[in-house]
Amino acid sequence: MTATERDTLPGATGAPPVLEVTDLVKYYPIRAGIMRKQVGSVHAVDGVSFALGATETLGIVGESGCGKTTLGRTLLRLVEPTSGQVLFNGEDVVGASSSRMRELRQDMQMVFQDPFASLNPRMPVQDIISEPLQIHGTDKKEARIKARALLDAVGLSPEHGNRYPHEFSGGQRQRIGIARSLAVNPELVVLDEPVSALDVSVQAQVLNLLEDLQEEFQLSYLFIAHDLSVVRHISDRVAVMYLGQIVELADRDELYEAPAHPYTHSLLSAVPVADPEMERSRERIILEGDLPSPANPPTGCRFHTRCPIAQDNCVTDVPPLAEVRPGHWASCHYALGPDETLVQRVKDLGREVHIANSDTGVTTA
Amino acid sequence: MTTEPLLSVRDLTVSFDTDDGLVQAVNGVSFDVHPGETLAVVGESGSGKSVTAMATMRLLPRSARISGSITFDGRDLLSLSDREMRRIQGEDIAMIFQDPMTALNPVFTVGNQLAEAIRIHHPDVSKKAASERSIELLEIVGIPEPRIRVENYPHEFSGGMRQRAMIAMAIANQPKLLIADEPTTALDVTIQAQVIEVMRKAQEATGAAMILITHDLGLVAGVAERVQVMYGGRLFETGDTGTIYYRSRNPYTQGLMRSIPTFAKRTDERLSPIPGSPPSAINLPAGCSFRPRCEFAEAICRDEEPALRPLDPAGAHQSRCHFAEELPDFSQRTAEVAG
Amino acid sequence: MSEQPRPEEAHTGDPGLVTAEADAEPTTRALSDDVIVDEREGMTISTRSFGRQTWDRFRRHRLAMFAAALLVLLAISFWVAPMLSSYGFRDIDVAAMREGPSFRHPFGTDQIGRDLLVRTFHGGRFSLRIALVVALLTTFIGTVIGSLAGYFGGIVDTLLSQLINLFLIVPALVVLLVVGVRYGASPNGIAVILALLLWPAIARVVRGLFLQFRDQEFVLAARAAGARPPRIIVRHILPNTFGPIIVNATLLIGTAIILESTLSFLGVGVTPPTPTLGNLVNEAKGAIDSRPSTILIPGGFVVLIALCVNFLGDGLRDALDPTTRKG
Repeated sequence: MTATERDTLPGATGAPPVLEVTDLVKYYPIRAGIMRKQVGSVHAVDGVSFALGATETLGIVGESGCGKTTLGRTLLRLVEPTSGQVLFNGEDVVGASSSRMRELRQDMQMVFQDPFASLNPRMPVQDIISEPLQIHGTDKKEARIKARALLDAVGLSPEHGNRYPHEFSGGQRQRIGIARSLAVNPELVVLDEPVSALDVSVQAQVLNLLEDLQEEFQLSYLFIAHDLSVVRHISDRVAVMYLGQIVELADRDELYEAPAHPYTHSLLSAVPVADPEMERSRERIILEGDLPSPANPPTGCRFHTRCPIAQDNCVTDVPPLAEVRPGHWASCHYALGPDETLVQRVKDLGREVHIANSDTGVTTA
Repeated sequence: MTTEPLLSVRDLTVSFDTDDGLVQAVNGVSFDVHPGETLAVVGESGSGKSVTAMATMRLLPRSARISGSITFDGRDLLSLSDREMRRIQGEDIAMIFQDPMTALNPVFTVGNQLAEAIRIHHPDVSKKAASERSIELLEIVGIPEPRIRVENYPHEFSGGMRQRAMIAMAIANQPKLLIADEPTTALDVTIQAQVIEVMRKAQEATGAAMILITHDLGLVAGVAERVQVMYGGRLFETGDTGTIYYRSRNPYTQGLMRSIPTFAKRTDERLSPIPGSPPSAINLPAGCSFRPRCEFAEAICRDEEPALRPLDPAGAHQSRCHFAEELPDFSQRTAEVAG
Repeated sequence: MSEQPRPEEAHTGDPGLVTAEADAEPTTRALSDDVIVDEREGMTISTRSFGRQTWDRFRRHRLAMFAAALLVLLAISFWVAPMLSSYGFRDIDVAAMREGPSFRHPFGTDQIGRDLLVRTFHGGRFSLRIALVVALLTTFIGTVIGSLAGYFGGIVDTLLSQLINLFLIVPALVVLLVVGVRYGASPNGIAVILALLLWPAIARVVRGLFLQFRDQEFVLAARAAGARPPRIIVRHILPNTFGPIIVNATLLIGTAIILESTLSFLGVGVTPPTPTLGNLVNEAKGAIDSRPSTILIPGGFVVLIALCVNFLGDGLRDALDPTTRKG
């Protein structure tokens, strides 16, 4: 990774960025034995660089173990990064003192995945929402008034501030979590799988709410999710992570319609679509094998163990995240062209790939 | 359908006595599963879809009050003794669970458990033959190097491989019916795609019928022949997959389809969610249980619970709505194909 | 569904949890005077105050209610009954030694003619006092040490855990015997020694709970809001550990009463003539064949108190947990 100059950060646009991340790394030590000696490390986030513009939404997608949740937490220093730089409005976050960090938390907030676990079951919701304000010096009475206004802003009745979290439905709890994150007027909100624990019919309510609030409060979102459909809906730009690294980052429609990285391509192809005719007529590429362990990532390109178009040098050479088309970044030695499909490339190489089609059964090209 | 149904559920009602009161988990559900077909049961949390499946497998706790009838292959499952039922479980009806870790025993090798699954029902099969068959099964579900892998313990398998091993166990005795309860929910997208293929292959290899219980409308679109939609313990709509996705005549089904974003189409417009949340099974609304969230609701919906009515002469498409015929047309057709 | 008429939406006092997309139609319906169903959100809501709900949850626990009433009754009688008697607990009536139950001495008298009813009730008083002091002290020490170890982890945890283990392996009885023989003891002295020996039980439980809660999302959320460790420990994690702490504290009350009795029985507890329930059993041990009531009565009180306290703890745990549903 050589993207150290600001203007070359993937995702950077003309607009002044709120968040600039350079070469961020988080390794978790693996300890074993009585002496708890370190025997290895999990490469949760391994050299991630990107920029997020003001009032923009950057989606981060990836499968489990790709490091997307760790990335979100590391940015807010809920988890201390191993190395790398995070600039928030130009200010160094990683090196900030703990008291400065507490101040910065007013501007950088987070919404968590689990609407059950993320609210303290022993606190009435008005206290949950007003706590960030009280921590930062607002007096209790004023904080409660603000909490009522926030309840209203997220579509809940302010009269219910004295109720406890378990008295609310899952979707409403997530609204409470969102209200809490907005209490301190943040600029940036990291949303970690904010709708994945919700029922399908409730997800859309929360997505709409997030869009409304973004416009109303001029928020920048980092939207972390595994659901590619949800991410496409809400994001302006999307980054795809694989084993701790960003493998592709592009404008939303560009990424979904003309992915350059073979991983993105197969990921998109694997998602079932809620349309029987289309779902049955299309050919989906089935990747072989499992996700490698982030404790022992493959050499070279991390995707080479499952990549249908990998060449010899993919095993040894790490592909840089490079701009393959204007505004479109991908880390692949053999990135696909805008009109090229993965199946076609595989055929050109004279190789076989596992393709599934519901009507014809499993075939191999 | 002209064939004799393999499974015939009639007026199944399941309730639980809890501290909070009587929970009506399933309420008057009737449906048939024909040999070899795949029926998807779709619903959100609390819809009763999993309880329906567990009732069919007779896996509900004793506190459950069950009424109605479940006829499988000509026998009434609800009146069988536990001993007779055990003979059917795993032999004629097999289950694929959401979390393979809970279904596999951590202290035995995968091969041991597969052989055990076979020998429970076929004690005459020799250990050697059972172990050969285990390897064969692992091969069917696409586990590489099955001869080596058969000696592994479940924790040595990855999540996707464990799910495959569980599918192997489910098909070990060539069951006539597979019940898959959210089989891919816990898996990553790329692994999901693998497991769906394995299930399809397993079904092909055994000719089994399958009840697929899920909330994932994408998964259903690809694999199910028929779909039934559940809400608040009731069947709300049932029909061929195409009918449900393109010609739904139920406000809940339509709302559900409308509220999912799909990456295959450009979605700059706002989503159209259903307001509110699924009902609690303790205090179901009077009349139609979807009424409080329904944009088409009128006075009659509160006063009278609609029946599940056939909308075509054959009764293949049925909907529970007073206004099924008057609803606007709706089609879940994606504009363009991605990739 | 049944055709029974349902209560209509008569309650307009509660506007319901109206979502952004909601229109004017009310979505709530009253189920009873203080329970409302929000049909759009599929929720059952109680309109009672938090304190009222806590009390309701406790009241539902019949055994705990009974135990609480019995404990109050016992405590009152321990304090009041001796005052009504004309005998003091040290008063010796040489004319009435080793008497059985009679109108003048309902529990009989001991070998030097002291009234056993007065001594039993006084003994109950001292035993209860010791138990309460032990419970409060152990809970305090155990909670402080356990929460620090569990929340901070690392070196803090390693050191404190060693301390906990050190105290756990000390054979309590031996220490108590040595201290008791060497110094004799007052009720408060015994209580402090017992507390010093029993706190690790609480500390271990609290440490485990803190380990479990410290990575929960609501704790992360508090950190993300800028909360410092003291606030997180006291406002966020501690309230979630009340249930198990209370249960363990009540178990300790039982243990303390029994341990105190054991010590007194071994002759190293509270120094006579101050009666405790254990002392009384000890003094009566010679009469086990001739007059079993002199042992059974104080022994019965020990068992009764220990049982009541445990039931009370069960009820308190459920009542203090807002997620326990009301019936």
